[in-house]
Amino acid sequence: MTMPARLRKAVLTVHVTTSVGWLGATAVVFTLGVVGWASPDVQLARSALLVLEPITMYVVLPLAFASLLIGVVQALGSRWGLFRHYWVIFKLLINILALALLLMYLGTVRQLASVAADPASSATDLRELAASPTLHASLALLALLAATVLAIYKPRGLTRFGRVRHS
Amino acid sequence: MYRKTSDMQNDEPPADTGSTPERREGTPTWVKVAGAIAVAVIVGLIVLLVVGDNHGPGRHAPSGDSTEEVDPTDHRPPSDAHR
Repeated sequence: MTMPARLRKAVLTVHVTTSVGWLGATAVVFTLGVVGWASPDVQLARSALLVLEPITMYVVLPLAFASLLIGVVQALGSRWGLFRHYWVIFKLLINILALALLLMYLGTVRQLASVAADPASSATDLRELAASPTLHASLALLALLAATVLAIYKPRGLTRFGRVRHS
Repeated sequence: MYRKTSDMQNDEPPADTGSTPERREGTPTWVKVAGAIAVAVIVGLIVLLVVGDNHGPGRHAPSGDSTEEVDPTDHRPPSDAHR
């Protein structure tokens, strides 16, 4: 079922906003990880790791859920469909994988925050901790950038389902 | 391989003409390459999560026990030494 043009534009606007917001929030997590890892200032490094938890829980996670859900609605409500074009399937796969890994990583984020909150944790501890979010956020950035490129270029390629639907 | 700029600006695919090259061609090369990369990434993740060592929160905790504070000026022997 195709949505009316005005509704489709509105849903597309929300989808682009949440998707790019997810990318931006992940860039913030990456930056905080780098600060925690590289800063010689222990208080700054500790603060950066402490901020990781609320940023992840209240910004990255909601944006990731919203991007995926609204993206599915957007695909189903337009002629692109969800399984007709390869680029849509790859983008869906990237979003599902990234969200699943994010959910699995939440425990680590809480652990990082609790260790960073402990005044007994040393600069070496903080540096060791900060390597993890930096690595994970950099991989997430690559995946989300790939999804953005797919969304903008929309490379050709109909799936078997898409070819049947169009024949 | 990619759509024209005018197509990219639309939020809908080009109108159905019935016999576009896209409809006649098989699986595009970019799909095969991206599919191979996707399979490799997914297999790698499964190996990391299942076969590899613990990837949970504990893995990222500092190796030392930070709850036990040690006074570097305290040179007394541990209590076990008195037994």
